[in-house]
Amino acid sequence: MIVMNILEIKDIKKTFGKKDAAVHALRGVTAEIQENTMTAIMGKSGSGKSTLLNILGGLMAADEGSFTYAGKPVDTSSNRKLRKYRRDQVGFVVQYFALIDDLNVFENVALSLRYQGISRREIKKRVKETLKLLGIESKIKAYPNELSGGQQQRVAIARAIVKKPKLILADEPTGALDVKTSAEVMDIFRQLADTGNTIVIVTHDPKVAEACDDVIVMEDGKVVEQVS
Amino acid sequence: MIVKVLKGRGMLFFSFLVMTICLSCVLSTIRRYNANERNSRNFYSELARNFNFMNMTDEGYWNRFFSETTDSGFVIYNIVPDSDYDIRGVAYKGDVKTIPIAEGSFFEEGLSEESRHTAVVGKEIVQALEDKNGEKYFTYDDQEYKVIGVAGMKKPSRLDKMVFLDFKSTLDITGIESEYVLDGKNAETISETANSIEYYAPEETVVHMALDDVKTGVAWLFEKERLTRTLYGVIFVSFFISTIMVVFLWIEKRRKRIGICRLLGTENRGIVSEILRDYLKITTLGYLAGIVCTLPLVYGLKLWDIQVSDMGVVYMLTVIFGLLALVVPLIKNMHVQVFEIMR
Repeated sequence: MIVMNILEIKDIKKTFGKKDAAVHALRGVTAEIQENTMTAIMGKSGSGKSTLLNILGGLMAADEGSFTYAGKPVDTSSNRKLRKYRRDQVGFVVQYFALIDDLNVFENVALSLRYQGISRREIKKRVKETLKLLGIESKIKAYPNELSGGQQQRVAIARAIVKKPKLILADEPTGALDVKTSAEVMDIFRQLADTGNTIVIVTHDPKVAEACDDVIVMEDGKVVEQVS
Repeated sequence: MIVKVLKGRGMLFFSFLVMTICLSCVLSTIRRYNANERNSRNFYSELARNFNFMNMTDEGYWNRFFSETTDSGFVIYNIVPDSDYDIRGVAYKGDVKTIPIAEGSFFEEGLSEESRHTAVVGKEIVQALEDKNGEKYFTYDDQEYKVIGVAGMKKPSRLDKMVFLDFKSTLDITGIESEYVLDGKNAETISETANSIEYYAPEETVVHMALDDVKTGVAWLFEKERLTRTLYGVIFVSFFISTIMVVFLWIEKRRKRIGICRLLGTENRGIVSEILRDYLKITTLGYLAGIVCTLPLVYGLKLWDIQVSDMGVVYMLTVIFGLLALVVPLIKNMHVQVFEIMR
């Protein structure tokens, strides 16, 4: 079986600030992430893992280096191009869910599709399918404050995957959840990985790393170890 | 749908509701003031000045004045004392607002013999006119005056009981040492004409001219008849400032939403158009609710001067003021860092 790398990262560098106040968040990161896998990026605070995730997700551009997505170089030359890459190719899941409080579950998930020229009927169909996949279709009209932490994270995952991205980036997705709920969320990620998605998770939690296929360990802005 | 739109936007909705009520009241008061302005002053403007002559030896003074002066945009009334009628002679020069005419025409500019023994009368006077050969005549002091026009406005006013005669005819009645009123299109014109009246008067003549009492600045705002409008204006400005703050808070509350949309890769124009759509929905709902709340005020305070067209003006002003308030906070929040909402 031929295994493709969905992401190939080459010598990425990123610095914040200038001169004496400069912080070298990434000092030349090189790594590969295979498709249809779950990969954990681990490291202490300040190791650069979230910065790497943000670059891979098109939230910022690297100062030096490059990366490819599905074999093609990702154009990071403008904010518009980064937005397009982020919109079309990437799903994001963050630690504190980032749901909009005055939108219900349906509206929060549909937000991903709203500005993509998709018809309302199609949006409705896809949102319902995604919520069903994640087992929260009964909460479709509920508001975030009516949901548990695990349910909110499912909604956030639904929002990330409803546009069918190949790549899902998760920044501490279980950080705000209890053990049981964390395990449920990891099960969902595993299902997604097994059905054609690639999941990259930034985490402190060794149990999350254990559940992943690969682990990239970072320290001081560099990859010190990549374990399969 | 209304509850859904209002969720989380109550303060903004309330601001627009109140702004609509205030604007409606202000427009009505302005309209009423404009309609009553001249009526309350016997159809003189607030700038009009009384004057008379002492020791005027030149019976042809006014002919000379009107033919020689280069001033323009003024009107001179000669007051005819009478217990039954409000009679005045009228002579004007240039483009100046005199009185509204409901029928017929007004006097010609300047002083002319052709205008001798002509009259413009109010609506109520018409009933007392004599009809001769298809023309109406007003008789006063055994002299017949041919009626060339009827003065009046849509609503009843003092004008309905007034009689305007040609200026020369009133001089025949009162003599030249009469009571006059000088009026004009603006304070500057009146002041210049007042100076000219004194300039052209014979040396031995004393012109008693009322002083210029036009208030300016803050005093102008708080003159008695303007006070209500000023107060409404102050209330409106207060609410406008508070609406600015509410709009600012509303956008700040959307900061997280803007960040999430940017996290999802939404283009800026998509975010902005959604905010503007939302804003217009709330403005419109607030406006409609404000109109509903204004109706009891219309009946209670008898604000009958509000017209349908005013409602359109109120809506446009509400939308425009809110949009002005929206610009700065929107630009500021469009630069929200996505990372703010990730942690």
